[in-house]
Amino acid sequence: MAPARGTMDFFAAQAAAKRHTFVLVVLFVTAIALTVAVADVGIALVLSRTAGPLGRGAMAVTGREEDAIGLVTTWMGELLIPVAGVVMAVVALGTAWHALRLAKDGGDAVARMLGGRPVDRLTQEPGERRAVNVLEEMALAAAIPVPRLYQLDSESGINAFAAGTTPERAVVAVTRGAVQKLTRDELQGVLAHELSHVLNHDARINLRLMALVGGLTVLALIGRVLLSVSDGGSSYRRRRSGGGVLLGAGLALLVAGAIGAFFGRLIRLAVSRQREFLADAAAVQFTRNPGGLASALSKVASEGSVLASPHAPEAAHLSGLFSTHPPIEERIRRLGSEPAGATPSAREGEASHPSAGASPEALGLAAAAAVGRLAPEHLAAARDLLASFPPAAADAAREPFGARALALALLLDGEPGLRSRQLAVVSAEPALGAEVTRLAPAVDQVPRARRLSLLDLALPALDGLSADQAQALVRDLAALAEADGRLTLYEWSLQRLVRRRLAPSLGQAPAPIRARALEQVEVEALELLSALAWTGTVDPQAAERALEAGVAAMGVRGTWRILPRDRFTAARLDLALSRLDEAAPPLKATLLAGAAACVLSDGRVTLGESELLRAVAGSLGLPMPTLPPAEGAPTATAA
Amino acid sequence: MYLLAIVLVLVVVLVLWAISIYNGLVTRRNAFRNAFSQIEVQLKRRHDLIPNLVETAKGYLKHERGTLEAVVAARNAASTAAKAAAAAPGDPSAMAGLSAAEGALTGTLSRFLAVAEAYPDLKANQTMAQLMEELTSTENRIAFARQAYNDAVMSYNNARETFPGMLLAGPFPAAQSFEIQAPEEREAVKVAF
Repeated sequence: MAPARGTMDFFAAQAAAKRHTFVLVVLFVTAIALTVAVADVGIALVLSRTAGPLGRGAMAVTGREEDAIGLVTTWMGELLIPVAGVVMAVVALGTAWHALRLAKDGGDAVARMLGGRPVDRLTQEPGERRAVNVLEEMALAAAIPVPRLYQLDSESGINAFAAGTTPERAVVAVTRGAVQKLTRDELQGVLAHELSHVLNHDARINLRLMALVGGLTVLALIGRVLLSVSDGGSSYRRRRSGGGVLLGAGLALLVAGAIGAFFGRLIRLAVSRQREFLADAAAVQFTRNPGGLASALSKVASEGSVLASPHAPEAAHLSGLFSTHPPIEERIRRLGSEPAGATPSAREGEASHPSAGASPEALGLAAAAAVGRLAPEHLAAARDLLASFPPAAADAAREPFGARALALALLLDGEPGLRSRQLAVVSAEPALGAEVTRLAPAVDQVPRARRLSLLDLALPALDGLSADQAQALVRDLAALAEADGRLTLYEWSLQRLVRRRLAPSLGQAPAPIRARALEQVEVEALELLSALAWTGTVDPQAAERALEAGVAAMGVRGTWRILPRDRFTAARLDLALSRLDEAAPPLKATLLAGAAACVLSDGRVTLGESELLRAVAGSLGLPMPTLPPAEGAPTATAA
Repeated sequence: MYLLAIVLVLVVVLVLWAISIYNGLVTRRNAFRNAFSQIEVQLKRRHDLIPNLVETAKGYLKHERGTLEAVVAARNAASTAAKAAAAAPGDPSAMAGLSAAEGALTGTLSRFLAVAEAYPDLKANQTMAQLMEELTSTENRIAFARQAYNDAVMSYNNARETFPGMLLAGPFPAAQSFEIQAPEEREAVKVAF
C-alpha cells in the first residue's frame, strides 16, 4: 500500500525549494547575459553595416577587408566590447534606479498604503491579543526578532503578507478576516508562513529580481525612444544615414530588452512560487502542525483572499499576495492534506454527518488511508460528534477523575439487576460510585455506535491517573465486563483501548520492535484477519472472501486458509495483538490496511467490525478515524 | 612563475573557504546559545504570570484549593530551580533540577486548565479570559522556544559532524538538545482525589 502522506519532510522540502531557487537565479543571470549579448551584437552589426563613424574607423585600421581575423579582432575591440560596456552600464543604471524606487517604501509604508493599522503589542482586544501572541510565539519558533504587526481593518477576506527587506525592519500584516475567521492553529500556520518569508529574505530577493527586470525594460525603453526619434526625423536626416543607425540600434535594443524582460519576469514568478513552497515547509517546521496551515489554506480556497484596497496591485511584489503563488490545491497537497474542493462538506457550519452521500466503502478506504493523519473533514466530523454527546459526559471526559468514572459508566449494562450489581462493585470507592451513578443517565443517551468515540474523548485525561488509580480502573473494568459472566466484543474492545492508554501509568514499557517483515508475524496476522472476517458474517464463504480481501490488501502473494470460527477467544486475540504491537510502524500500517480491507470486503461495516477495528488500531498504537457503521447493522459478539 | 601564481590563488581560495566554514560554525553555535536564553526568558514569563492567574481564579475555584496550591507550589519550586540553574550555567544537575521543576509545573498547569474548563463563571470572567490567553500563549512560547533551540542544536551538530565542518570542529563541543519533561517527571506529579 502507498504510505500515508500526512507527515511532510519539512527539512527536505525546504532544501529542495532553496535548490530550485538557486537554479532559477542562475537561469536569470543567464537571461540577463543573453539579453546584453543580443543587444550588443545587434548594435555593433548596425554600426558596422551602415559604416558609421565607428564602422569606418574599424575598416580604416585594417586597411584590407579580406584580413578577416584582423577585422574580427578589431571589430571586437573597437565595437563589441565598448558597446557591451555601454549596454551593461545602461542596465546597471536602470536596475539601480528601480532598486532605489522600490526600496523607498519600507515595510511600514507598504502596510499603511494598503490600509494597515499598527497593532499595539499590549492590546487587550481579544482577537488582536491572540494575533499578537501567536506572532510572538512564531517569532520564537523561527528565532527572529518579532516584526511589527499591522491589521487591515477594511479587508474581510483571509490574507496576510510580510514586507520589509531585513528581519529587523520587517512588518507582518493580517486582514481583519484572518484574525476573525481563523482558529488559533490556522493563524499560527499563516503567521509562521509569513515569518519564513521574513527569515529567508524573500522580500529582498523579490525586490532585487524586480529591479533587474526593470533594468532590462530600460533597454527596451531606450530602444523605443531611438525608434521614435528616427521615425520623426526628416527625410534629409535619414538619408544622411544617422537615422538608419538610430533605427537599427533602437530596434536591437527594443527587441532584446523586451524579450529579456519578459523571460526575466517569468523566472521571477517561478522564484516567487518556490519561495512560497519554502515558506509552507518552514511553517510546518515552526509549528510542527501541517494541519493548521492546510486548514487555513482550505478556508482561503473556499472564501477567497482578494484584497479590496485600490492599492493592492501596486503591492503585488510583496511576498504573500496574488499570482506569484502556486495553486492553493497543490500547496495543501504538499502539506499532506486533501484540498477542500474534494470535501465541500468539511466547511464550518455545515453539520452534516460525514457518511451522508458517500458509500461506506469509499469512506472506509479513505479512513484506512488516513490512519495517523488529520484532515479537515475529520475535524468537522469530530466537531459534530462532540456536539452530539451529552454535556455532562463530555465535561467529565476532560479531567482524570471524571474520565475514570466515564470509562466505568460506559460498561454499565441496560438490565437493572445487573446494573445494580455493577454499581455495587464500583461503590467500593464511594466518591467514584457516586460519580458513575451521576454519569449513567448521560451515557445511556449515547448510542452504542458512538460509545467508543466517547471513550476516545476520555482517554487523554486518564494519563493523569496515578499507578494505583490506573490499576484500580483496569480491575474495575474487568469486574464490570464479567458481571454477567460473558464478554462482549464491545466490552473487550473498550478494555483493550483503556489498557493500552494506561500502559505508561501501569509502568509497562512500550513494546520493542521485533518484527519488520510480514513473514515474522504471519500467524498472528492470520489470526487477526480471521477474527475480523468472522465478526462481519457467519457465512463461511463470505468470511473466506473477507480474508482474501484483507490478504490482498497487505500485498501477500498466495492464499491463506481462514482459521475455524470456534477457535477464537478474547485471550487468543489479546496474545496476537500484543505480538503484532511489536511490529515496526510501516508493517503496522500494512496490517491495519489489511484489517480495514477485510472489514470492507462486503461493502458494509457492522458495529462489531467497527469496534474490533478500533480496538486493533488502538492496540497497535495507531490513531484511526471512526468508520461509520451501517445503520441498524447486526451486532456480533466474540466468544 | 605561472605555477606560483596558481598555487597562490589556490591557497587563498582554500583559506577563504576554511574561514567561511569556521564562521558558519560560530554563527550556528551563537544561534543555539541565543535560542537557549530565549527558553529562560519564556520560563520567567510563565513564573511571573502565575500569581495573577491564581489570584483571579481563587474566588471562583473555592472547591479546587488543592489544584491552586499545587500550581503555586510548583511555580515556586520552578522559580527557585531557575535561579539555581542561572547561577550555574551548564551545570548538568542544576539543568536537570530545572527541567524536573518545569515539568512538574507544566503538569499542574495543564490540570488547572482542565479544571477551569468546568467553571463557566470563571471562563466568562474577562480578566480570567485574558489570563488564560496569556497562559496558553506562554505554554506555546516555551514549547516553541524549546523547539527552536533543539532545531538550532541539530543544525549546529550537523555542521560540526559532517564534512567539511568536522575538519574544524575541534574547538566546538557537541551540544545537547533540551528535554523539559522526562518520563519520571510525569510520575512525580500525582492527582489526589
